[in-house]
Amino acid sequence: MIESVLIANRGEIACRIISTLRRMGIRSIAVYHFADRRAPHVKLADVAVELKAEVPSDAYLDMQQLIDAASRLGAAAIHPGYGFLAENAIFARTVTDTGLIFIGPSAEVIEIMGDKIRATEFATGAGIPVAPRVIDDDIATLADEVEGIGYPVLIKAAAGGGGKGMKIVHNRDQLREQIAIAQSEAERYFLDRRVYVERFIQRPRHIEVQILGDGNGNAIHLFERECSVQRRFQKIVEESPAPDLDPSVRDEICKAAVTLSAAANYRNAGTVEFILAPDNSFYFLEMNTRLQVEHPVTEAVTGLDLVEEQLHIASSGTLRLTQSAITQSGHAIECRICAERPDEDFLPATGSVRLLRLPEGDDVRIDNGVHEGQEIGASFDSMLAKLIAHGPDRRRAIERCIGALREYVLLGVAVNIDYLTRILRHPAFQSGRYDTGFLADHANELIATPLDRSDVDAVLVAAALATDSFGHAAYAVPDLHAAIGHWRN
Amino acid sequence: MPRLRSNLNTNSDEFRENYTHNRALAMALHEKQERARVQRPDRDIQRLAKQGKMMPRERIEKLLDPATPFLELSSLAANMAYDGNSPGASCITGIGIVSGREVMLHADDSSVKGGAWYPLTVKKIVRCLDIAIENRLPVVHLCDSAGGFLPLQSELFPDKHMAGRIFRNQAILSRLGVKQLSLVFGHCTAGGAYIPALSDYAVIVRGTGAVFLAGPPLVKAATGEDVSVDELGGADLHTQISGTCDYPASSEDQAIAIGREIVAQWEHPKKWAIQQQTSEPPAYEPDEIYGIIPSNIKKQFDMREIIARITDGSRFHEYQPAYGTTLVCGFADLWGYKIGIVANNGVLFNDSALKGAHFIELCNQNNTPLVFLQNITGYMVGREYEAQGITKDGAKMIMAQACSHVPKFTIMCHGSFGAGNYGMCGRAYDARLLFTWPNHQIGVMGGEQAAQTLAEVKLRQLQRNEQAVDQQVIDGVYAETLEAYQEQVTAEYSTSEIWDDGILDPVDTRNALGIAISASLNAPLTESGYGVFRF
Amino acid sequence: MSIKLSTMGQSYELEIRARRPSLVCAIDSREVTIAEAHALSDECNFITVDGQHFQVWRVLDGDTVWVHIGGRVFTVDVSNDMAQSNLNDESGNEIRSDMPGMVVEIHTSEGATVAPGDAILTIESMKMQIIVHAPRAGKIDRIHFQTNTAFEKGAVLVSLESSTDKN
Repeated sequence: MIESVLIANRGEIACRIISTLRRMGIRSIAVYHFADRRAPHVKLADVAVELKAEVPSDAYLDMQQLIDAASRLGAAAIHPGYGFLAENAIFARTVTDTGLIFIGPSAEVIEIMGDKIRATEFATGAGIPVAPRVIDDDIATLADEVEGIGYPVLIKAAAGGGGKGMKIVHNRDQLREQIAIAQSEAERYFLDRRVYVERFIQRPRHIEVQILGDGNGNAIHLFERECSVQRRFQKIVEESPAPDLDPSVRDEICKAAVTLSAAANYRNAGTVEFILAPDNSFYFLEMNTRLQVEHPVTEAVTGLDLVEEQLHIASSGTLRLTQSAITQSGHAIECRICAERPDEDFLPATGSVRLLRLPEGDDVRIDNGVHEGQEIGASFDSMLAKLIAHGPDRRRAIERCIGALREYVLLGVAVNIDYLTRILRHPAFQSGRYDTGFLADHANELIATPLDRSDVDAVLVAAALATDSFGHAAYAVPDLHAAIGHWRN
Repeated sequence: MPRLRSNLNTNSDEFRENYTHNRALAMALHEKQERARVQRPDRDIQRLAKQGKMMPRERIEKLLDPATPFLELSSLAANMAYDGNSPGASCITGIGIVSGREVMLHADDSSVKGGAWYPLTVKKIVRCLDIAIENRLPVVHLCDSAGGFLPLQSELFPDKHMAGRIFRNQAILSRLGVKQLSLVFGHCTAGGAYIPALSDYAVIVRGTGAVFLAGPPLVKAATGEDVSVDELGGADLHTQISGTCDYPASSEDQAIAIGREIVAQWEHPKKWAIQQQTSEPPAYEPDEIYGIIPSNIKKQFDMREIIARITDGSRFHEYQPAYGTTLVCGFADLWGYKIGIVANNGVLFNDSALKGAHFIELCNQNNTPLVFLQNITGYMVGREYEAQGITKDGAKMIMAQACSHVPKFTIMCHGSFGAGNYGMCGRAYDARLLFTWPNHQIGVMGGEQAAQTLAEVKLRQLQRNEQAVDQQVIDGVYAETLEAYQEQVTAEYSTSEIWDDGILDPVDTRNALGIAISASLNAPLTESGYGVFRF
Repeated sequence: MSIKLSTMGQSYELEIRARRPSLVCAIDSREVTIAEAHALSDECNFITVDGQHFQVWRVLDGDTVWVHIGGRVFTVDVSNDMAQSNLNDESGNEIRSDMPGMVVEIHTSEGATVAPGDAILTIESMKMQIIVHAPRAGKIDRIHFQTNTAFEKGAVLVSLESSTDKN
């Protein structure tokens, strides 16, 4: 059994991993940059090590310092969380070469799945449907080949992820220019200018499957997640099970995910992402070889702890669960709490967390990574926390989610909490029939409604009374003079 | 405590007549106040506006806590002097609330002759600082004055209670630990310069505020030095170099904001814990006071009717209700404060004087503030009463009253003639505050009596000199005396000369007393003690 | 005394009109009656405005108040008389020394543009090194002393270009 784990991450995911480690009696080692010295993950961990870097985010990307810290403190394993080095094959290999356990798949699998072109080739080889695509470095022949799959098309970066560098092209005239832009963006984000063109599936849904693999060709799935509520190709609301999904389609998708994982000798928890077309055809999108941000919805409906399963697989090389033992119960919804301004084109917001009061409740889970007093700058991802609500059915999960969002108090930096509420309240979301175009299609209906005069009054009064001068003037007057009021003789 | 039962018939002709008469007096008072407060030549208003200055009352309103009372003092001071050139004696004084603390405000009125100090201006400022000393009230000075009005310098400079007394009082206040803040909006020249200098805190507005012993013209004359106002005594000079002022402000608004914040730092006073309960309004309408006060000065009225319209729930615990009935004494609550009331219901006889002296002692023994309601024509005169010792009994009342250690407050309700004024805590007896109603008359004796007396003296003089008695001369003396008297006995004259702390609309009496009592509790009680009573 | 607030692109003026029996405020001259009760903590209150109840979380951040009402968050900017302008005359063009000393280091150069708070000089006085900062944004007109030269108390160390010159 692994006795201590270094968490090569920060924020909510570091906290979430530490909490499972604590429960399992495993020593947790946190790392942090000076800017994060008061962060919750530093306080929660048994030990915390400072990593030096000029730029805070660089600290969490510094393989050498991480491995040195792990060795120095006697960590048996490194958990990369998500982001940072989680899908970095070189890191995985270096960790393993040092004699430590990397809680993730083998470096080879990371390499394959990290390259979209190779990944889709692998999927095709495993008999998984893939959207019609063109891969051609020669722009002239590429344009002709694209005619074969038909417009509109999507340009994607081979090394891409998180929606960065993706472009929709509607006709041949735009293609050349858009490819050039996509290549330069890919170069900038991923240091890899390769792009490819794929048929753009109209009104697609984003369905993904949580899998567990032992690395020896055995894999099981933990059902699907619906992740179609996206802005800028990034998810902000996820749920499980996927609403309004034909059970036979669900089975097929889940089976495809297991087939792919088994074929890849996948080890660790992973996610296979699919595009589901309105005609129920589905296509492999990509595989994420790590714990996913939205994994808690799966945990909520299956009752499992995915980090615990990761640790079990990493230490034993076996799965301790069988497919038949896994069941879905009720419905879960996750909302990503982000420092951003939804009404200003999701512009990232900065500030400092002045007041933080998290909602509480049996069916509500908050994976939080920020603390009161924390400066929210542009150094890190804008996601601050996740709120997951579980209910016996979808309607009640939505209600609980809305209730918890209403009680979620985070002041000092603009967050999207109210926007999330508007999403959950929207009829299209409530009907369960929506696709990745949901936020854009309903943008006008998702704008904040103007306040009633009485609400404005309350806001103004509350604000005025909070100030020194007005609050003092309102209350700190002797009784007699307060009773007489404005009086002149 | 029992509720007083009013015997007032509000449907009577008499009530209606009195009401109309007194209400008209009150309205006339408010009109005069309005004129004294805001009526200014256009050029003065424009001059202030051009300098970026607010009117002095605007400053006060911004300085005071919103929705709190301001008890203005002597609003009609100097109104019958200097041909009306110094409305309100060119300054504003009063008790108000700044940042939750009771303070005395003194503001120069630069909308009148540049805020120049007339003799009565000095008297009003000295009085307001005397009140601050007696009641330990912090003072905020809003300075903007051209300095002393030179043509009248002999009446405002040399004597004990003239200009020097302002700065003496400031020093005494400071010695007592009472805080002072100056907001320098305009010039503080010559003596006026000592106001910020003697304050604990001074804020000065850049550009318009200036403090100097002599302004540029005088400096030029004295030493030949050519220097601008700003170089000589501006905000930057005093806050960066001389240290005469503490805070520079870039505008009047900012100066006021800084001032409010300074006051907000001051410790809350440990007020003397007077007996207090939840207050209730009087059971009878205060405006009925208009219908009680007779339009004729010679007419008597029951002071209990007034008490019923001032005290909490119109309740009154009357002391010795059957003895010495021309003096009404008793306990009541006013805005929740326990007070002792001494009120005239006729001429003072031996028994009423003794009762008064005794009740005043009771209030001192009980640490109960005293409120005197004056309507007095004097102590009873004549052989019989002298034989009974009316003079020594009156002296007892004066002794008890003068030596009281509890705060005293006096309302001049109708008439105040002769020695009764003394026993009932007239101006000379250090009432913490003394207010006059518009109908009030005051004098050593009534106008007719005085005229009669002087005519009598003239007649005797003529007779002594064995001159022919010319009835015309006698009548002349009578008419002359009466005329002079008729002006000088009025409340308006009284308040113009600052023989009081202001004229009050009778309906404002309860609030004024409440604010006054509250202010008085800032000062610790002094030791009690009396002189020798003549028995 | 009143307070000027702005939120959601609108400006408002609030004024206290009465405190008894209830607090009455005027919002742009329209009166509202207010009752406030503290609950849970300093930051959480129950506020009743004209009979309607609100649970309010709020926090003051400089001159901005963050208000959480009914699941929504609003920022309200408070105009502050104290901050209307700096207490020191920022329009001055000269930076003087509060004490005699010597210039140790010059961090910028004549003609350079500085932002408020930028280091201009390091001076040494009484064995202490002190950094002279730019009091306002502007362009450096002159640095009056070279490194290792001494100056007297009150000497002009740096002149900034007059702020009224720039257009």
